[in-house]
Amino acid sequence: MRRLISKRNGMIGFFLVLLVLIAGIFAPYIAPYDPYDIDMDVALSPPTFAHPLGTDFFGRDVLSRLLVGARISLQVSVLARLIAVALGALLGLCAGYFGGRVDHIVMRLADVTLAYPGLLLLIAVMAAVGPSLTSLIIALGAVGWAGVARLVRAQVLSLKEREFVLAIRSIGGSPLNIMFRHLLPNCSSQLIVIFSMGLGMAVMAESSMSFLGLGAQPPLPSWGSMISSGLDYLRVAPWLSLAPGVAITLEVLGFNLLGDALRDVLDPKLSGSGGRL
Amino acid sequence: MLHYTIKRILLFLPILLGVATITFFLLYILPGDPVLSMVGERYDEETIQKLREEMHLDKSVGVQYAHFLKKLAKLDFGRSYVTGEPVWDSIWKRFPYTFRLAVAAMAISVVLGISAGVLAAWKWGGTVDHVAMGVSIVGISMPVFWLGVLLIYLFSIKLHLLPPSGYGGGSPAYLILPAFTLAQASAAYVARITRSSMLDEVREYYIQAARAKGVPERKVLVKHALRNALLPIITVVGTDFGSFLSGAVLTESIFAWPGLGRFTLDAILKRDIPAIQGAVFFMAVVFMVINLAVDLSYAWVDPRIRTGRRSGSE
Repeated sequence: MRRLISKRNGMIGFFLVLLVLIAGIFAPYIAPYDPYDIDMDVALSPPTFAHPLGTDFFGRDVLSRLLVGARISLQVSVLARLIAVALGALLGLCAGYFGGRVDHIVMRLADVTLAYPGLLLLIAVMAAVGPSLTSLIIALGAVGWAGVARLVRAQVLSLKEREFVLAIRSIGGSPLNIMFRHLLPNCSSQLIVIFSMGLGMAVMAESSMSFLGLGAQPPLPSWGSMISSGLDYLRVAPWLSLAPGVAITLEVLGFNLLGDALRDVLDPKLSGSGGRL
Repeated sequence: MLHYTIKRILLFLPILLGVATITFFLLYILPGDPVLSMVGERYDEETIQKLREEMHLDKSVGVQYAHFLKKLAKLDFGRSYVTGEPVWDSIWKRFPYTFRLAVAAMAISVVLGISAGVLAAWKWGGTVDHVAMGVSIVGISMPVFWLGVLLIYLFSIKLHLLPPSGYGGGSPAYLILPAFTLAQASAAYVARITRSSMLDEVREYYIQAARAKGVPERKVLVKHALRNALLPIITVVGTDFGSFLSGAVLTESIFAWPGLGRFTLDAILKRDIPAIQGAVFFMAVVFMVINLAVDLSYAWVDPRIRTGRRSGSE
């Protein structure tokens, strides 16, 4: 941890993520207004002392909506990444450990999942199951497993032949015991890195889907849907679309910087930058 | 090389089948009766029955799936539920618009990304490097649809310089904002890759040799280091081109660009299943073909890949 924040970029990332976390956790207590409270008298008010980021077309306070939006964004991205990492770790573990047909099936499935460009598979899944936050979380998790599985499989393949695994096997350790008590813990640093590097991407995906109307539905203040509903008022009330975008950028930036720093500390072999769709 | 090419193409086919299968079943589970949505309110049983038979909706899943694959092999995606037009024709009509946008975005990404990366590597550790890398990490973190909104606000609404959206009959002014929006993340990423792979090259002996024999530093960087650093850059650029071509749904929807991405989104909003299936399958295939081409060109340039002697590769 100390090494993590001793790097300047990691420090900035840590600070940004902390900011979003505080906003997300304490949103109901620090938000100046109720984010769903309609007050037509102050509709489309520009930023003032009473409303620091202005109000939208229903007179709802933009700052309060942004704060509650942080909670949505965090919930979706963290839960989606947990599903993706759990699913990917399990399948990667099985593929690497059992090899043969299991390995073949899992890896071809991963190939197919990764054959879709960018958000396309997610868009198709959301079109099929219908837009809602819960479906979005599950869909994001179900689409994100493939990269994790490849990584875990590769790690397991190299660990499997090491002396300590052979030793456990020779004294009669069961496959389940070897997989979950010995192999999985040895992948933990990679799992932490890939979990955190994917967070920025998940935030981006959530806001993109909500922007397209395939994620959070109104009146939920998801940052993506706030931007799209503000588009009609871009001329008269630009703050409606501009403020949530700043919030998304800062959150993704925070996760990316923190993810990169974590990677440098925990697993310098992995390269590239996270947060890309 | 021929051996490697054949191997890669053989690997390509099962994945193609997998993509077709997923695309079919995803939309098979879509709720609602397509026939009812086609004929609307005024219907009689006979027409519905006839349509149902025509579209094989009265058959089992297995038969429908087999029928879908058979038609797919003939590049027949069926007819749109909304317009009645063959989906394949609509896709071909939209593809040139997407292609135009993709080429423009690619050009911007390559020029901006590589020059920023080279500059950063040249002034490594200095202010230019820090600024370039700072801008690029922010660029990667910025949502593409928001950058689009920001650019429309600045250049159309505030400065009145460029049109906010539409195709404008092909006038270049309409291309600038969408192309920059689409290129943003890619350019930022290319800059990072260019810088890091150039810094890797600079540590090699042949660079020291070039410096030792007195080649000017600028020439060392551009003629020697950049040339050898090009491989990873080509991979990134190629993959990005593939994803641009496969329909930039977000960018096209903000700028009302009449390409494939917007076509897909419209089809989703109207629950036009054959159109969604066709577009999603087409885009996935374009993406896969470009990736395959990138891999093959990579192997062609670097023989270590096709003989599998490169450590860490599959």
